[in-house]
Amino acid sequence: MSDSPYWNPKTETMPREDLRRLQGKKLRAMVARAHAKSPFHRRLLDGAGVKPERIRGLDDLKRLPFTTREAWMECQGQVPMFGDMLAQPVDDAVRYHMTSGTTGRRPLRVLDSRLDWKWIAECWCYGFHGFGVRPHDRVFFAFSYATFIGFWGAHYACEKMGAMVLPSGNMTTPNRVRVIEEMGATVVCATPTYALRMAQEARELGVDLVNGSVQRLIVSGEPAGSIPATKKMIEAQWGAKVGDTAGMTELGTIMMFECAHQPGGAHVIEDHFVEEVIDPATGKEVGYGEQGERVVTSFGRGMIPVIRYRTRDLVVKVPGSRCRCGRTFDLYEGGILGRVDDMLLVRGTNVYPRAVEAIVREYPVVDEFQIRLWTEEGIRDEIGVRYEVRSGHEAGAEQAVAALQKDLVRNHEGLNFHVERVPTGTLPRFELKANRVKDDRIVKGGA
Amino acid sequence: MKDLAGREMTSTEKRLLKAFDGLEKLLAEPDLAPCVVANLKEAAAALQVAILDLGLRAERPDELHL
Ligand SMILES: [Zn+2]
Repeated sequence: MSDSPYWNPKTETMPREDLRRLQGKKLRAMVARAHAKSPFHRRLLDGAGVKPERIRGLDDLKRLPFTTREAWMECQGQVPMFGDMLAQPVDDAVRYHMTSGTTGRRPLRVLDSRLDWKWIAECWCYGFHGFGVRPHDRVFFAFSYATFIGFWGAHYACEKMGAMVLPSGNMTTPNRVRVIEEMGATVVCATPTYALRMAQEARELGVDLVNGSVQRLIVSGEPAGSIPATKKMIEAQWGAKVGDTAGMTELGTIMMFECAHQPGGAHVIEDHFVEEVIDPATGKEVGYGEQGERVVTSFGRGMIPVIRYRTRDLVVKVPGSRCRCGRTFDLYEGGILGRVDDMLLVRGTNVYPRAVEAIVREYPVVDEFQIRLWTEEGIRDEIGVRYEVRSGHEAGAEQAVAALQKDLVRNHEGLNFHVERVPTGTLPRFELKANRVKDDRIVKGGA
Repeated sequence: MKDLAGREMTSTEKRLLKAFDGLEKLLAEPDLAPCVVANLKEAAAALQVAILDLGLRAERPDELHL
């Protein structure tokens, strides 16, 4: 077996022109199949006057209609439980998953076949291998293995690669830390937030992570995995490298991963996905280096074809040549930068939770934090950051937090931030997707 | 024989396709034991992923219900 740094050397280093040709052929077959087998997609394509046989290459992608979460949900409402989107009989499915539904919305329900699961794991293999995971590794999953799809595919990827999986299911945090130490885990998979939570627990248990066995953390599930300050903090507390990945239930797997060169962004797995970046207001494509909304087309999931799906994720695409690894796959600089709908409007100023986190994480004195919004005197919106002091950082905490407050104000056009210390253990801890925004305003000003 | 990127397929790639087609033929045999059907399907699904990775074929073998 070759000792390639790439999981799939053929496509990961393919000249862009060849890659486009490959994507075009896959697109053509996928659209024809979706039109023939999925009533949902047939409706959309027919409605837009698209004749599948006239899709010849990647240039035709723009002629296809967008798919939205709303339309997907609507079809699931009309044809319970999975809508009429499936391109294969329900009997072909071997697994059911759904979105975590933390925002109070109805969950999105998905089914995958045997082949889909092999492909889901495959996409994770690009990421794990690309970040340096090899068969001799022992990979610990801080993951609850339930209906949220999360790291399921990563688990199978490790088995496929021949690495040893250490599952942790519903274990408590102290038990997880003990298993990592006892089993000599070399790789740990978690959300960025939970990676910090485990590090805190390790300190309390007297477990020395920095000089321990873990060499790599692979994080997913939150934009924080690519925030430099958050990443630096995780790396310092674990004495290990952090690699970011991002996926979504709508795709079943990851569509981007950070390679071992850690270029400050993540490569798009372009032989299995086409990623466009558009202006969310106009729907027009934006160029390299410009921020916009991710729109994804997936070639690999058989039961659920995904065509030009509006993800609401904000990204900036740059050429793969920015990274020294030799991959030709484009990069998302800084990973997922937030969500189109995440923006909070506070007295006319735009506040992005990710930007606040990027500032807060520059201050190691802060352990956990929360962004709180409320209405003062029935009319005036206020914003604040509540924080807990990291143990051992008591001295000088007040001074550091005063600087943090100034930093927040300076980065938000003078908008005043109230910064309030709360006792350790007050703020919620998260295992899956962290939600650090508590919006108690009477009228919520959003995007 | 060309792949989806328009390159000439290597002999290994051609053999990979042949191996898949062989599994497909086996799956069409009558009266296969449940253990044989299930494991042939597992193998076919795994090979199909390698075919997708290398960009050898774009069509999915839907008739196999993988
Ligand atoms: Zn790279």
